[in-house]
Amino acid sequence: MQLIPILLALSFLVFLLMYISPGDPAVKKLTAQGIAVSQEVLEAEREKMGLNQPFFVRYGNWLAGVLQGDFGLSYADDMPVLPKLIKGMRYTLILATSSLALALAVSIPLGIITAVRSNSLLDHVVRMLTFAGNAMPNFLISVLLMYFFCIRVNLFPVIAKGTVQGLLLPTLALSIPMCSRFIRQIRAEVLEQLGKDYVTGLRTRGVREHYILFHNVLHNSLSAILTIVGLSVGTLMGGSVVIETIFRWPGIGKLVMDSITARDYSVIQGFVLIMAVIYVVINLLTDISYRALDPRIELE
Amino acid sequence: MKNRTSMSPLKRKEFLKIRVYSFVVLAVLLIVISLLAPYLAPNNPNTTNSAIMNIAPSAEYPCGTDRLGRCVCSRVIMGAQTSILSAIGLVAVSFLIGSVFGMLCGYYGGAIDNIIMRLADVLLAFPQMVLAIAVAGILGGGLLNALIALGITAWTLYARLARSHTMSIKNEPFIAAAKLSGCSDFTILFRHILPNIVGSLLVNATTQIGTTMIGIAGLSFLGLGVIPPNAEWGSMINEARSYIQLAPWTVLAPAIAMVVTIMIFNYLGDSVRDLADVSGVI
Repeated sequence: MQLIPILLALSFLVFLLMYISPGDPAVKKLTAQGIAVSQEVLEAEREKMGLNQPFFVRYGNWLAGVLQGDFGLSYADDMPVLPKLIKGMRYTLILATSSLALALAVSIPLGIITAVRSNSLLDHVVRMLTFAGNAMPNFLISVLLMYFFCIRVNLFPVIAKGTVQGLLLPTLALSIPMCSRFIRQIRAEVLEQLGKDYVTGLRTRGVREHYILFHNVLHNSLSAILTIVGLSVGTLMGGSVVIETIFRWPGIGKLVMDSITARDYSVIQGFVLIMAVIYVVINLLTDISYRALDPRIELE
Repeated sequence: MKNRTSMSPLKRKEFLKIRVYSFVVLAVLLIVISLLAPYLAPNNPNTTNSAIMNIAPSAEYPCGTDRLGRCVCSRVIMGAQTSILSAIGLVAVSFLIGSVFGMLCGYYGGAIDNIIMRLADVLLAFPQMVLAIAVAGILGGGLLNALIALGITAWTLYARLARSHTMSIKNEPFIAAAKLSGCSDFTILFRHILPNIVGSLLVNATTQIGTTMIGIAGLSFLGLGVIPPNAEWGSMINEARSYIQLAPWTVLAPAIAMVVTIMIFNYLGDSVRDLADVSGVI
């Protein structure tokens, strides 16, 4: 995988996105800060933001800044964008980790049990639940969770505010759709492994079923589980924007939605860039760990 | 379900066919409903009435009214039009664009292949929903902008698929025969290659409808898609969620409609894929 060209192209697209967005950035910045737009102010702001320079010079300056950790200034309050993003990132990371952990803790056992006892009652019930879960957008799950736990039962605060207690519902909301996908995929993988010749071989040699399952089958399913996790990172990132906005969890997703409302374009730009870079790096790490798990796979 | 494994292949194929047909019927029914939405809605979906705010479901208002006194049932039916037709439309457009690009890439190779496929690689380097949220946020709300935001990455799936299929059959003898008999590239691409790859592309397209619907609803929920007062399920749920205590039906009606619709299209996609698997289309 050619990491550097991908990252370069990616940064170019992000910059282009801002460039082709309708409206003059200087006007947007001034309106975001509530300053009346007059010709002189506008000219001064354009000069300050370097908008009078040609496209590629602007891209070069911007990229040079980004590489040094300078993501530009927020349109809303003239503060640097990066610290804002990092602050939100911490909360998002907590939320993403807890949801992923919960999703795996639920779906690995359930995936294995439903595969081993396929066509049992439990299997059918789980299958129905996962189908329902797959058809439920995360925002709907959040709204329903909020309704039952915060209003009907009054167990949790409606606004998460970044506390441990407030973490529970957003975690649930993010992990339910993930569980639905994971369980089905893990079940399919384990079922496939159980049908392979080596399992029959081990059985005929009298190896205990439990040992086969936990020692051989699970080991061979690991790379598939890793793929599933790797693929879910993108959905997790998109989902966290929605869920953080609903539960007012102070992560990067809520930050970007607030920035969209406030027309704070430089924060949106920084957000896409950071998310895309993280996504690319995680995909790369997934590829590398395949090799660690299964030495037969050659890295491209 | 229990005897599915013991079914003979022929019987299983019959079973899968019936399953596909039944979901096609359901999906067509939904499409008909969304096409006829203006005639099916019991009341005007956008008429507000302060005398009947948040009233519970009744004969006149089958799903109650919302905080502006609008008929929730009519809005759900009108919302079907927006959600279903725009999801199918987006899938169709990205399917067309992606397939044509993919076929051109696979058939000609070289520079055009490099440019389009590298572009696809870079677009796939973005998490889809994150890019969609950012693009829709920068372009501003509106259904068309939301569809553009989702479509930017959606075509890559079909492009990659069409490319690999085209590459694998372009060296078949029948393509060489077509070339020798003087067929133009256009004829070869659309008369000889396309019919051979369209099946598996269509199977993939059907599995994408449900996901696309979730994407559109998600953007609308965030206020980046359909703009109120136009009815759409995602934006209806967003509008109504602060009043869920007073009028739960304003959330539940669009929610149930949405989940059932997505389930039907997901099932349709799955059953089409299973049938294609058995019939060897993929």
